[in-house]
Formats: sequence, structure tokens, C-alpha cells
Amino acid sequence: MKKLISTLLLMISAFIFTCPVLAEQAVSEPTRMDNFMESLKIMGLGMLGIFIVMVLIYIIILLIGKIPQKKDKSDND
Amino acid sequence: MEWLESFEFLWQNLLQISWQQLVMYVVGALLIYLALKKGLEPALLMPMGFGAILVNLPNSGVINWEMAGIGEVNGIIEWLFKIGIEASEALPILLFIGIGAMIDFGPLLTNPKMLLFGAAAQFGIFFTISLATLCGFSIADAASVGIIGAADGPTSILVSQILKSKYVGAIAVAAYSYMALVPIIQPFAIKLVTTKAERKIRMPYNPKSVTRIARILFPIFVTFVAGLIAPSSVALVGMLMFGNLLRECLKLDSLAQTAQTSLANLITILLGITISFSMKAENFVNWQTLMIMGLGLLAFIMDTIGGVLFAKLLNVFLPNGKKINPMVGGAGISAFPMSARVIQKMGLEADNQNHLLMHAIGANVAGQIGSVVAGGIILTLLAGM
Repeated sequence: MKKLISTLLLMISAFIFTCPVLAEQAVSEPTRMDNFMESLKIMGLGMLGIFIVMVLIYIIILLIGKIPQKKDKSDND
Repeated sequence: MEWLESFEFLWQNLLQISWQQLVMYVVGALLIYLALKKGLEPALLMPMGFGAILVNLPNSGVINWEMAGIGEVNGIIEWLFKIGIEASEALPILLFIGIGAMIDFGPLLTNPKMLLFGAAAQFGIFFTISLATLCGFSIADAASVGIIGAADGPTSILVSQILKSKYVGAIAVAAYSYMALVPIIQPFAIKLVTTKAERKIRMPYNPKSVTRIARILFPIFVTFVAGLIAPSSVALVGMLMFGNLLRECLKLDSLAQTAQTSLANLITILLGITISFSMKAENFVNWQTLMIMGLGLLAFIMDTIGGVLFAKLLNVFLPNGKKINPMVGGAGISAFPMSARVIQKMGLEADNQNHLLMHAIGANVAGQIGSVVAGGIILTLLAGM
């Protein structure tokens, strides 16, 4: 876990400190923070949305699994 | 010396090559080398590499050009890009029919809890979007870069094109390159967050039969659910599930075969070379391309870590004997079937009696669904902002 944390911190620091130098179209500081806050909202809603869809599909799979099998064996795997 | 000027046409283009174009010839050659010598996604990287050379030749005839006395002449690659990608994203969407026809959702239908890993392993997309905004990218460009984490080439191309990102070329190269490098990226990421004891956890596989009616209803219901929650995903999810329905209905074998083979191959040939239009030197040779390569790699790493950590979280609540091997969570990315094979191999390395393949395949196909849903949700959320 220490290795993971230190690797992540190193990578994130490298990006945050070099990006303003490298980005040709660096946005102004307030807009950058606005975009970051917006991205956190997208992260929250996005991950929640994906989980909701997957849980609904999970429920659907459980329900269609209860549909009785036909006696014809070509219907089964 | 006037006679020499009449031969000027032989070398005038050579003198117009810029250093950026030279860089692109090297990039194109590198992609071809990686495709042919190293076997990394040759079906896409080879056409992209060759196309990168074609579009960067001075006054290249494959992109639109002005002919004196005639006017504008259409170039084939620019035309393919405008019709096949810019106008309607047709090429990546139609490719999904072929992909859907190739997928067997049976392992997922027998073990539906793997769907949760297909969701968790999309974390890298959103993590990278946030980091990209800190790097100065606009929200639309950040989302286009983050979608590299979907580990799915067509989804990455589609989302970045709809968001009108000017980094489509770099995003496509990153997506396909890192998909091919999954056997290197995933073991590194998994070992960062797991112990050997965790990698040894055994998961017995008890296959259940899946009825034909279940296989037919599954793609229909998935399309409904995903489409009602994220309407922007209907194109991707719908075509994926349509292809799967062709396969599973067992009444349209010739169409299913065509979708898996001829259609998929034809579109793959055109997609690779068409995407190279976005690899013109003036758009590709810049610092943002390097940043996108770095961010794309981070997206893949965080996808894997997200899936693994979610599995570890579930294990907190599961009794001994029913624990999940956390590596299976890492298989929830969309790189099918490579990720499943990586997890199987790592499982055997930790314990040579531990076969995780079928669980990993279930998570891997769930990742296919998760990635297209993620793409659709991102488009839906950005449309609402």
C-alpha cells in the first residue's frame, strides 16, 4: 500500500507541476478549478449511473433466469 | 539553368517536408513495427501507422487539395473521415455489431455479480477526467482523454468525436496501444494493491446452464435499461446488443457469421486508415499528445486498481470460503479477452491449482457493457451541462 501511495503521489505531482508548463492552451486558474469541481460531479454521477445500470441488469438476469425452461433440450446450453 | 526549373516538380515536395512531418513518419513506422514485429493490435495499429505516413506527405492526395484551374479535389482519407466518422460516427458504431456477434455472455449470465466489477473498473475513466482538468484541458477534452480508460477503441473514438475534441488521433493511438499492452500494465497495477495471499484466493466455478430464452432476452433488456438511463449510449449499446442478438437467436447464422467476420474485418480495415486523418502533424506533434499518452496510461492503471479495490471492499462483507479473488475485479475492463487471460495467468502463478478464467471472463464481458454505458453516461452528463 505504501508503494501504491508513493507511486500515485509521484505521478499526480508530475502531472500537476508540469502541465501548466506544457499545456499550450492552459486555462486561467479559476476556470481550471471550476472544471475540476465539475469533473468531480461527473465522477460521482457517472460512477453512480454505471452502478445503477449494472444493478438493474443484474436484477433482470435473475428474473429472466426464472423463466421456465422448455423441455426441448436444444433451448439449453 | 532554365531547363533545370522544368524538373523542379521532382523535388519541390521533398523540400516542403517539415520537422513535424518527419516526426510523424517515425511515429507511423513505430506503429507499424509494434503491430507487425511485436504483434500489438496489428489490425488497427498497422493501418493507423501507414495512414499517418500517407496524410503527412506534403500536398498529399489522400486529403483535400487545391488543383490550379480545377478547384478543390477530394482526398479519399479525408472523405472517409468526414463520412465515416465526423458525420455520424458510423464506422466505430457499426464495428460494434461485429463485436456483439463475437461475444458470448454465457459466463456473465451464470455469474451475474461480475457485473459489479464491470462497473467498478470504469473508475479510471473518471479519475483521469479529473486529472486532465487539473492539467488544463477543457471539460470536453478531459472527458475525451478520460474515455481512453474505457479500454475500447470504438468507444474512445466515438466519444471524442462527438465532443469535437481535436485530440482524436492521439486518443485513438493511446487507446489501441494500451489495449495491446494490457499484459504489461495490469500485472503491474494489480501487484501494487494486492498481496500474494490475496492473489491465491480460490474461487470454485460451478457452471449453470443458461436457457436460450435468457440469451435472447438479455440483449433486448440491456438495451432498454441502458438506453433509458443514458440515451446517448443507445448507439453503442444498441449495436453491441443487436450483434449479440444476431448470434444468439440461432435463426440468422449467415448474418451472425458475416457480422463477426466480413463486416468486422471490412470496418477494421477502413477505421484504422480513416482515423489517421486526425494524425496530421500540426494536430499530433505537440505537448498535449504526450500528456494524453501519459493520462491514458494512468486511466488503464486506475481502472484496474478500481476494480481490484472494489473486490477487496466486497471481501470485507463476505464470509471466509466465499471471498472473491481481488484480481477478478481487475478483469472488469473492456479489453476482452486479453484481461481475462492475464488474470488467469496471474492466478496460476500465485497458486498453480487456481483457475480464475471463467470468473475473469464474466467480469471481462461485463466490462464491455460497462465501458459503453460509461461512454453514454459521459455524453449524457456533458450534454446536460
